[in-house]
Amino acid sequence: MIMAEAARRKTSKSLEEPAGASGPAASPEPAAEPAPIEEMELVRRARKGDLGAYDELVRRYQERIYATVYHMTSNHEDANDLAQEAFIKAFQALKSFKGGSSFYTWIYRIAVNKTINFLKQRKNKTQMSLDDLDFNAEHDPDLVALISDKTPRRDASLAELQEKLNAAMQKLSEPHRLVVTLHDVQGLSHEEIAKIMECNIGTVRSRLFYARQQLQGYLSDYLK
Amino acid sequence: MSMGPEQDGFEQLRKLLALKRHEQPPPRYFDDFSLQVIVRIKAGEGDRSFELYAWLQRFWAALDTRPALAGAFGAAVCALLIGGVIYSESATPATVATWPQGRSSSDLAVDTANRPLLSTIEEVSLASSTNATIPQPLGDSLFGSIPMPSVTPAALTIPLGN
Repeated sequence: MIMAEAARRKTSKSLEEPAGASGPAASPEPAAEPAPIEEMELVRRARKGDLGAYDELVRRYQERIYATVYHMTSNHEDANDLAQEAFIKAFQALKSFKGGSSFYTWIYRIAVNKTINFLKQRKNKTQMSLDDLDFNAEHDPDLVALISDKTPRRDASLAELQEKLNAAMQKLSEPHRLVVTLHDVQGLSHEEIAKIMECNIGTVRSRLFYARQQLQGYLSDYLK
Repeated sequence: MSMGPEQDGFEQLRKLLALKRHEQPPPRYFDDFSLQVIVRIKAGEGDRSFELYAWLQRFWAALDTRPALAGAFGAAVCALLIGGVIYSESATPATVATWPQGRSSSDLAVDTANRPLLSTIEEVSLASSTNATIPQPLGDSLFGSIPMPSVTPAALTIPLGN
């Protein structure tokens, strides 16, 4: 859980210092975080139509935004489309961005709202298109411990576990799935999630508790 | 609700959820992600050419990451190519000149040599003309009174004498 701890340490900083949430493309090493002033400068330039500045902003957050959408949809193609559309919408709405929150929180909010709207429209038409597991997955001691020793092919077992896990996630309601994604997968703090979801911290905690209970029930075969 | 991670009974679940962190998009996926966003911003949503571009991008990415799909696509392209070649070889042209039965090309050469040159040229030119002419209205042009030449389809007639 080194990665999770590192992510948690990073995300427990203030929102003005964008957190390096873990996710499909997150690096385990803490990346150099951009200074807030620089970010606001990029936003200011992008607002004036400087696409180079906006390109830099996209590069900073693309991995985290993609990861969030991907974990919500369990579908790579949908995540690709939605993440791109979130950045496009954000660019078009930059003039309305007042700077009351960080750009990071703001873009997250756009992506999350877009994803939830999309999921409501495609209700009951879930089709998973999962990303491949990286090389480190089969060497993760926590995961290795979860896999039955009787399974002759570890790869197949991990893939099966991945599918079951994603299927269980898809059974959660969108707000519950989002809380689990942001907290347990991406390592964001309750405070950050509350800002993104525009609700209070108590709501985040209760949703997280309920979502975990649900998941525990769905995945009881894999949890000893 | 402020229990530590070890005390709330979800530690195993959290370990299982960690598996999702290992789910990675295709290699080099993020290399041109921002470029695609910028292209879409420039092109504007709903632009047909962009949609085609985006579709091709997605298709190429799919081929890049799924060897089975790439193989199937390659096989389909090869099959199409081979099918096209076979079809083009087996198809016969719509209009092929046919010799009268029982006569060889040398017979025709003999016939032609024994005929006056002018009549041969006339026959050949008439027979070989495939350009239909549409009579044009003469109107008040300078050459209105001059009858315009027209070609009428004529059958190839080869004298059978000698």
